[in-house]
Formats: sequence, C-alpha cells, structure tokens
Amino acid sequence: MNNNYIPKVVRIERIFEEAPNVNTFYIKERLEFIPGQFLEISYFGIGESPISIASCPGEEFLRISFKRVGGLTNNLFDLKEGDSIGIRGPFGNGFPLGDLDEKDIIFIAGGMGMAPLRSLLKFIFCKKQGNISSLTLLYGARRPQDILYKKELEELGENIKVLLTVDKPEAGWQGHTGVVPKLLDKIELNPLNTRAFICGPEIMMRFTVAKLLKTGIPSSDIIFSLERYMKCGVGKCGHCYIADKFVCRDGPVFNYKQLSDLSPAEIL
Amino acid sequence: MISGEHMIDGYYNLKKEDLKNLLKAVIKDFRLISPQPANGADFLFQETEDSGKINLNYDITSNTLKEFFFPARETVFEYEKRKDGSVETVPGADTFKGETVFLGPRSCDIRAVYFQDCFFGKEPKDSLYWRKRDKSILISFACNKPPRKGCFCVYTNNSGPVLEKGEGFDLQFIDLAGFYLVEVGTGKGKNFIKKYGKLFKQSDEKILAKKSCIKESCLKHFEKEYNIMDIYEKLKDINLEKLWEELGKRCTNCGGCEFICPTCFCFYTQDIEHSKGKGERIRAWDSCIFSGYSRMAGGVNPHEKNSDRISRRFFCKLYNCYKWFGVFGCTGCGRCSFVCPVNLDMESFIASLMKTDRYQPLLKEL
Repeated sequence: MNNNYIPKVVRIERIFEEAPNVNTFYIKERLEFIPGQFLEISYFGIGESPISIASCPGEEFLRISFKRVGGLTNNLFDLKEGDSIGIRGPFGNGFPLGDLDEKDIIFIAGGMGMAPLRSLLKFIFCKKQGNISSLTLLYGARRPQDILYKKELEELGENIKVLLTVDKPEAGWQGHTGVVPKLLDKIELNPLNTRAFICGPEIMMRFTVAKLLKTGIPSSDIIFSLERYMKCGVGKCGHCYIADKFVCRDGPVFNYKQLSDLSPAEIL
Repeated sequence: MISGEHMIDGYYNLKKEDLKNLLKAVIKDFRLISPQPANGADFLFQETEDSGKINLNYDITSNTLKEFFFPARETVFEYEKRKDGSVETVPGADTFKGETVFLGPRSCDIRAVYFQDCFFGKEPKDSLYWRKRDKSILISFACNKPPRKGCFCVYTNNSGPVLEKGEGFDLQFIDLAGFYLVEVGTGKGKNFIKKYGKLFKQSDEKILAKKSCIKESCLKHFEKEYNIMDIYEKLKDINLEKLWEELGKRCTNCGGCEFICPTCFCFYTQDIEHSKGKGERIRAWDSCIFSGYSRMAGGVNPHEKNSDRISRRFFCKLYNCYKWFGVFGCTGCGRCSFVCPVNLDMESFIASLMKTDRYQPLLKEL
C-alpha cells in the first residue's frame, strides 16, 4: 500500500497572468482525468489546497488557474517558471459526460467557477460539437478585467452563444451588468431539452438553481460543482462532507436532485 | 472482515494462574500494550515490559486505541527543496514498533477499532493507518459485571458488554471465575493460540453455554430506555433546529469530546518548516466542533454557527456512520461524558433528543 498522501513533484513550465490576482500554471504532466475533477496542490512548507483542473483532457499542458485568496494561493504567486509544486490526484467524480446528444447545453459560471467549466466547455466543444443542439455560456465576473480566458472565449466564434456580465462595468464595457442569474432572462430555454452546468460562489449557484427550476428544467439536469474545504481529497479527513456524502469523493459534481434528496438538506 | 480473514470456530480455556505466564511469554515475543494504573484513579493503555504493572480489573481507560493506529500527530512525509527548484520527498517513518499485542481492551474499544477499520479501510485505503493496524493483535476482555455510570454500549447496536465473532476482536477473553473462556475471532487469533498452545485447553459446550449466561446477567444491569435505531429514525424524520440552537448555545467548542472519542477520524494536515527549505507535512486530529473547521480560502464558512456544527457532529455519529458502514460512530464508552464541561456528551444528547417534543416534519425549502 503506497502512502497516498505524498504528492508528485512537478515542474511549472509556464505561468500566465489570466487576470489581476489570477494566474494559470502550465504543467507538463500526462494525467488521465475528467473535466470537473480537481488536484491537491502543494506548496512545500505551506500546505495543500484543492484546485480545479482548468485544462481539457488531451491538451498539451495540464493547467490550473488560481486566485490569490488564502495562505497557499498567496505563496503560489511567488513561484517562478521552472519551480516545482506538488500535485495529488485527480480527485472527485468530474462532470457527467454521457447523454449529451441533441441537448441544449448551458454553462453558467461565476468568477473562478469558470476554471472547471473551461475544461468541460472545451471538451464538449472539441469532441461533441456536431451532436449538440446548442451551446450557451453565461459568465459573470466582478469587473471586465476579471474575466478569465477572455481571448479563448472570443475565439470560440459563432458556434457558442456567450453572454458576459460584470458587477462593476467600466467605460467601454459592451456586455451586461448585474448578477449571473439575471442573464437567464436574456436567453430562451427549452426546459425539457436543457442540461445546465454551473460553477461559482454558493450564493450565485443558489439563485441560479432557483431560477432554472422555475423554468421547468428537471432537477436532475441541473448540475453543479461545489466548493468545500477538501483537505485530503480521498474522503478521509472529514472536512468536506455534506449529509453522508464526501464532496471530495462523491462530488464535487452533483445534480440538484441528488442534493435535495440528502438529509439533512444542508445547502442550496 | 476488513482485513480479509476467515472466521474460524474455536473456544479455549485458560487457567487464571496461567495468565501471568502468558503475559510473560507475550512480552518476550511481541510489543505489549495493556491497561495500567496511572495518575491516581486513571487507567491508560500503555506499552509495558513488566507484566506486574498490568491490571485488567479496570472499568475504562482514559486514552483509546485510536491513538496507536491514528496518532494525534504523525509525519506524512519530509521534504527538502533543492537549489534547482525541485523538491525531494521522503515518506514519514513508521513509528509503530513491530508486531503488537493489545491485551485488555473492553468490548466498546474493540467496536471502535472495528469502526475505524471500516472507515480507513474504504478505498482508497489509508496507508498510514493500516501499516500500524496490520501489525496488531486485539485481545479483548469482555465486561462481566455491572457497568460503571456512563456506560451505554448495550444501546449502541450491541457494542458490548460481550462481543460475538466478527465484531472486531482477534481473541476475546471472558472471565468465568477461576479461568477465562477464550474465543477465537480471526486467523490472527487462531495463530496466537497455536503459538502458546500449551497454555490453552480446548473448551466444551457446557462452558460455552456460560458465555450467554454472563451476557444475560450483565445486560440486566442496563435499564434499557431507548434503542439507537429510534434515534436514527428521529434524526432523519424530524426538524430539530430548536434543539440544535439550544445545544449550540451550550457548547464551548473545546473539541474534547472528539479527541477523546475512539471513533472520531477527522484530521488536518500542516507543513512545518524546520529550517529553510526543509521540513515535514504532519497530519493531526481535528475537530468538527472548531469554528474554522470547514472555513475555506477567502473566508466562506458553510458552518459558521455553533448549532450547525453540533448538528453535524451528532448526525455524523448517529446517522452517517450507520449509513456508511452499518455501525454507529458511538460505541457507548461514555468517555465524552468525562471531558465535556457542559454536559453535551453523547448520552446527554440522546436524553435531550428523547425529551424534545418539537417534532415537526423536516422542512425542505426550495
């Protein structure tokens, strides 16, 4: 039995500044994973944190995007290209990728929630595009400069409808203003043929789910990725459980039906 | 069984005067951990090389077996940063010194190890736990006298006073005045008997029948007021928000109940830098009662309120654990009642729950 808490040491090939206080590490590591899974990232001497995989399976580099929010991420900003970090994983279940043919797929992201959805969006866009009825991305950030993967999103072209919103617009901003759930008013939904993938702050997801349910989308077609304090990633340390589910092992991706069936109903 | 052993039938007698000889032999061949008097009235599970120090006439130890397999603090790995930017890691040394016999744990202690075996045995198995656990032999001493105040193993789905095969012991000793009836629970237990075969005599059915007599007579001393399955159902079906709020006001967040609990499994990890670029990652017990337990980077805390954390604690023990493994996260040892400064131990909680009359259907919003 291997000591499954020892991270693999990998080299940072490239660092890219996505937005103010958001960096992406490019790592050359062949790893099999599913969009929506996460890694435990180690900065030796500081500790370990769960961070979503932002790259799509098959891309040349494994990518993680992170924001300066806590002890570990602060330190990750000190690292330079060529330095090493530790990774463990991939962990979690990932997004369900089956049964997407002929569906209207809608991605709904808030802030850093765009990182795991980038992986999924890219995967569906590249591998499944021909079979999908329609693709829509609703994405909100605090300010225009906080929008992640801006250039890539522009390059997606006509095959996906992208609606962006910010809380604090600035001169020249051509997108929408206000919270993400409001973007749902701007699009037409075919509730019985829609699959929604959501990731963002819990409060944003709560309002988004409420709105989606009102349109008549079945709760099992509303799928989201949760954030919790996942210290070990393997369902042992205890921190992330919700009712009898470990978010790190049974999640982080759940559909709304699964969560509302839990007792005690804790969130959303 | 988690460790993948086959159940083997086998009952033996050990003369009481032979226990000393057995202990002496075990000390020669194994590391022995047994209950010993310490600090006045307290008993502790401790390593010993002097069989004279062992006292098996005790109620309960102040420490639990958890600390041997899942220590309060242990090194996960050591690291050293190199000049070229790379990092070298070395697995933490195994501090568990060789094959170890635990002689003297009570039934509730054994059931707690059984629970942790289930928990740390679920894939992916916890290697740090199993590298110690695999080297251990558990020899339990069943209770055969009235329980002390605060014992309630009988109500936690039969965590005592006398166990049956498959419930976690390798060997079970039952005191039958003059001799012990020794019950083999696993292959490990069988090998142990083989090793010291001279001391053990095959038992017969007449003696075996005494086991159930002992069990019956011990059970009489428990005034059964509830069944833990009722608690399970109650937790599931009723809205207890008011109860959680009341309990939340009382709890002081000291975490004592969870550190002393033989089944609690939560841990955190932390890096400790000993010198520049060199250090270790440790893991140490954590407590879900602590206010920062589930706080995430950025400050969002899904369980900010005391009442939320209290509710999680009791749900975990009395509901989740049963759902996961069919055993409760409480074996009725009653240790939490020794440490809790505000009487929020498991037995008091169950009493509050039985009394609470604010039963309302669980409100599911949204």
